[in-house]
Amino acid sequence: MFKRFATVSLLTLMIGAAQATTLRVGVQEDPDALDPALSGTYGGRFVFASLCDKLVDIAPDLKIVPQLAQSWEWAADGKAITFTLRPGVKFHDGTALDAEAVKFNIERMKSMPDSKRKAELAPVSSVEAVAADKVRLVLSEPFIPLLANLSDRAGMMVSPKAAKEKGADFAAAPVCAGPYQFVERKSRDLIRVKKFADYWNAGAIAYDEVVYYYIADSTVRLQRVRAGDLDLAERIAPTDLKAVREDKNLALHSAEGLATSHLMINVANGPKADSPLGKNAKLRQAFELSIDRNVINKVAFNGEFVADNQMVPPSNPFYDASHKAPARDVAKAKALIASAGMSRVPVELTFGNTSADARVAQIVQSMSGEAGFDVKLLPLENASATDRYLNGNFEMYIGNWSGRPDPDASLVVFFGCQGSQNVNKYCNKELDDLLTEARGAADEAKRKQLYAQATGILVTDLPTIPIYHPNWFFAARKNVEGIVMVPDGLLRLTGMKPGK
Amino acid sequence: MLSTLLRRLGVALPTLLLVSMLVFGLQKLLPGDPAIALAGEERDPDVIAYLREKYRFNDPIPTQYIAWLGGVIQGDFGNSVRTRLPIGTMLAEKLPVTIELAVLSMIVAILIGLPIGIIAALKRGSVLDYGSSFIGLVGLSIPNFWLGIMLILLFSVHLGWLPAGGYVAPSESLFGNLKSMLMPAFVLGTSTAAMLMRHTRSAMLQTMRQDYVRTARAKGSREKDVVVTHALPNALIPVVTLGTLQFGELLAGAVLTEQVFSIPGFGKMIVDGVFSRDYAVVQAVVLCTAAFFLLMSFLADVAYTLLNPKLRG
Repeated sequence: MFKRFATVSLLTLMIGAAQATTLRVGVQEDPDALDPALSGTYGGRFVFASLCDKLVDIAPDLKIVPQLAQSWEWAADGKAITFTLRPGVKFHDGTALDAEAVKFNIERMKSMPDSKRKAELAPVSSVEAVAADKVRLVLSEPFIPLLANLSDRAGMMVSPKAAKEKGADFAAAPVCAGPYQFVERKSRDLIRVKKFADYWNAGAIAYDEVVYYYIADSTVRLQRVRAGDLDLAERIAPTDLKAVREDKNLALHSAEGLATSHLMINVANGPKADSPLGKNAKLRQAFELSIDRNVINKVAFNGEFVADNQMVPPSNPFYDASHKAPARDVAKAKALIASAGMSRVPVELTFGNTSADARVAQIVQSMSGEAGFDVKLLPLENASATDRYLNGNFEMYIGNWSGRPDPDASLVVFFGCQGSQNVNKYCNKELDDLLTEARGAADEAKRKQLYAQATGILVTDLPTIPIYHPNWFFAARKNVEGIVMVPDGLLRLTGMKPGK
Repeated sequence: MLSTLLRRLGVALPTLLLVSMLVFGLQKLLPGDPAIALAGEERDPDVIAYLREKYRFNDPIPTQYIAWLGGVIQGDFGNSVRTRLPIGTMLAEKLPVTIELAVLSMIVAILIGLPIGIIAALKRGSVLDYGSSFIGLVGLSIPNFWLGIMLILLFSVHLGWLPAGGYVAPSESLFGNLKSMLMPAFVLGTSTAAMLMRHTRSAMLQTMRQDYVRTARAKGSREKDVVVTHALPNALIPVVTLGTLQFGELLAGAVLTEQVFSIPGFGKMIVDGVFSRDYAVVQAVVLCTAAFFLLMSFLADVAYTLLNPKLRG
């Protein structure tokens, strides 16, 4: 009798243990190509967090922490960095991750014609496999932000064997070294990944399977979590947060983000730069004084985002707290407009017609109008708006930049004279020198000081007027445990587990 | 019958070709450079230049069109520029889903629209008639998106009876499939039902005034027989035509419904394709939809002929 009881109990236990646990996640965006070299979307990065480990990762406080590399060492002149790789790491096809594999990956990302990682890896001039577990990246110039770049797609390692064999088809079924391996993708529907048994940190991975469902609408995503169809949904709109907080089955997880929404002003690119705001920094200052960022945040986003005047968010260690956003001052704005010899200032504001940007544009129009700005709104479908923006065909434009952990990638891109997104052709030699110097400064305090100086120039010259930083909001069922929010807004599966 | 079929086919092929040309040309008029849309947030100028070259965006439009058409004739729709997945596979995945949705919502529309339309006509001027007009008006004016969200709130969030969205393939679970399609089919079906109801009512009213109906009554036929055997088949002719064409419309009208219920069908595919300027995807979907529409109008003709003996021969 006892024996039978024991057998039954054991069987029950085994069935319980064998029951596969699936995490169902609702994502806002259908990822693009699933190849770290080609991916250009947040949606892609979100899925890569389960598929492809990186050389290094960022912690919630934005510090760089080990992932595939256990440690690293900068050369004294800042022109080389040597990584010591974690031992025993395998790709999903069973091949080993060694120094040669890292070399292959960095070279692949630098040489593939449609690789989107070229700019991030531009300072890397060569890669040397020093030993099986040691790889050195030699740089053409000191470039400290490289580490932060390697915490994103540029640092994701794919299996050289699979990449060579699959060629252009690699993106359809990627092979990396992350906690989960690719199973299937139904385009514009779902992506399924399953736990990789040989993962180096397999003990910290609890869910057997993760399915990412593409559901574009925030409200629909939330309803599906509430109905129990999904365990978690990312990017819940601020207007839906009340419903999450009131639902006792759900938990709200949030983090300050790296992204910035800003009003880019065309100061020197083509005929559209020939506007009062484009020519006169005093008028740009007046414009900034005419708006109240807190009110924008309150009205458009229920006060759930962070109102701010810099491209780098306050959560970043390099944020410069000494240049706080000025309070709204209509009288001073009017005085500045008068000192420029004007009474009404025409402004054309172009933006991609999303509900968030449209709300911001309308509030900005109404507030600045009180000071003397006649803002004409020009909402366009997103691809058309982006096209105009990149071609300098705008006076003022609502830009949405996803941000990067290192300030270099947010400042040089937009305000360096040769920056890849310097679409308003703003060029300030002094600022350019400061940003270049900050790239090579290994000392963190020194870098901080340089970025503070750079910020001082930016908030006076105002080639762009940052408005707010969005926060990340995940709605999850209460029984999803171990969610750690990081400013990059990606869902890290390590440490997550199903609770009761 | 065979000659009709061949004649229709002779018209259908050039029509398809024309549609594909039009869509191809119109897409190129869309503002927004596809290479930029594809380059992602990094917008590396070298990558943009490479993509333009690789996908022939620099070639003259007719050259691009011929290259594309050449592939399609050989059954190759190319790869999605955005995801690199083969479009042929995508079509094979999505088309059955949307057709299923359209069929189910047509069934919903017929189950609701036809009986109410007939009753409204027979009880003309009564409370039932006005009531049905009112229901029809409501059905037509409620936006699918809103109705969808409301149904999700009621049946999924509060009652927990139905899944709030997503698609279960019939091969996975037939019951699960029906459960996942019930609300979307209802939402999509209601607006068609309203249309169907109005047309059934007016067609029925017209038929009931015809001489042969009066004759049938004069011969002493029971009212039920007059309606079912004499009036209804004739009244159904315009309704069937409309219904078949409406079915074609359903395929296109599924866009919002698929969005609300996150059903991976044609609607979602084309919307995403347009926004990411994934031209080849949009082309393929439009071509398929056009082919489907032509097929439906052909079937409408066949049904018309079968129902109306005067048109046979």
